[in-house]
Amino acid sequence: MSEEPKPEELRLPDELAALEALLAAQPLAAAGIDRDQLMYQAGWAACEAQWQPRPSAGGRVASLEMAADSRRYPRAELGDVRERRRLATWSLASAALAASLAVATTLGWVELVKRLDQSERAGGGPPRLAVEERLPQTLTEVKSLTARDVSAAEVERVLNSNGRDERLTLAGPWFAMQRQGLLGSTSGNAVRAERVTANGVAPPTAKTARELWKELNPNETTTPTPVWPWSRPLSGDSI
Amino acid sequence: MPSVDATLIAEMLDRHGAALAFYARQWTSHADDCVQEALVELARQPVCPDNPAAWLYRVVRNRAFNAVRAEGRRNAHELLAAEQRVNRQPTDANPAEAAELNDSLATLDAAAREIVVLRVWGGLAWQEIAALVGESKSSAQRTYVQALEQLRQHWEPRLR
Repeated sequence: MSEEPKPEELRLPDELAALEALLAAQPLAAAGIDRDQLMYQAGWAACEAQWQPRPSAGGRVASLEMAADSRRYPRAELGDVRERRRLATWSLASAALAASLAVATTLGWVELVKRLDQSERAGGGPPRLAVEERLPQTLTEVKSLTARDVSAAEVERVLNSNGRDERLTLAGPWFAMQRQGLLGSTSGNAVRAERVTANGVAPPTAKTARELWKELNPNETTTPTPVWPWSRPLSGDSI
Repeated sequence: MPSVDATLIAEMLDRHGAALAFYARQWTSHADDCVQEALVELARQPVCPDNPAAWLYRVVRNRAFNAVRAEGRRNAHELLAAEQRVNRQPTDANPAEAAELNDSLATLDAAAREIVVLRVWGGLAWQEIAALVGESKSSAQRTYVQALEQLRQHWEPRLR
């Protein structure tokens, strides 16, 4: 700057030094710059430059780099662009694969349930594919049955008499529920009647609370009076 | 290195704004725009230059040359509007003295005039001036002395 003496200062003759001083004393026309506007623009420029990506020391372009003062703010080095693209590709592929598996599993499960429901709604018969797979191939009695005419009792009887050829299929749980009578409404009254005649044991039936009380307390003559929640007083029930 | 802050921008504007505009006015009528863009560019720098004044003069010089090239492509209407805007700018200087100063500097060739402005009103060191004009330091000093000799004839009555 001009205020500080410089070692390379040019030594001018007195006349030229006086002329230099005279010229320096001449007032210059003020710059027509709006100070407020300039400071506003400078502030915006500094803020933009602070968050603008610029080439880092390694020649790579960082996506987020605080350029205003790297000593005060941590820099976000996100690595090579290729590396980030590769990671993004693998992430997207993994997500797509997981979504596909989830959709396929859901659709397969829904289809299985729908198939079982259709077979049950058709009259209580077992699923056609499951029955055809479970039937022992060597029994002529089973072979003579068509898929539409077969009933749960007939299949159960055949399987109980020829258990050595039994194979577990998707219909296994269905047969187990049939044996325990849990599918009473869907299997139909005719099937239940056939099961009673075939095994000689009546399937369990639903009981009311009053019947259970009498069964558990045969000596009690009076039955308890239920106290319904909406009939109880509110006093003393606070938490 | 200190960072560029608002205080530095304001200081550069106060101390060198008029000289920068006078420096750019040698080449273009959009001197104030060049100065403003240079100051904004200075605010954009992550690290403050070693000599902000010399840095500003270099940026203003480049901007002025770019403006000269752009003015050639600009239509007459925009050019007239820019000149009117420049003429409306307030000034503290005596118009007669400013005109006299401009007339005397106009007698110099472009290289000598630039060196005189950089040295007298810019206050740059000879090394910085040589780097700006693309000459050696001794050559710049020689040109400066010759320019002062030429201006001396014009300002002789005031020196007595």
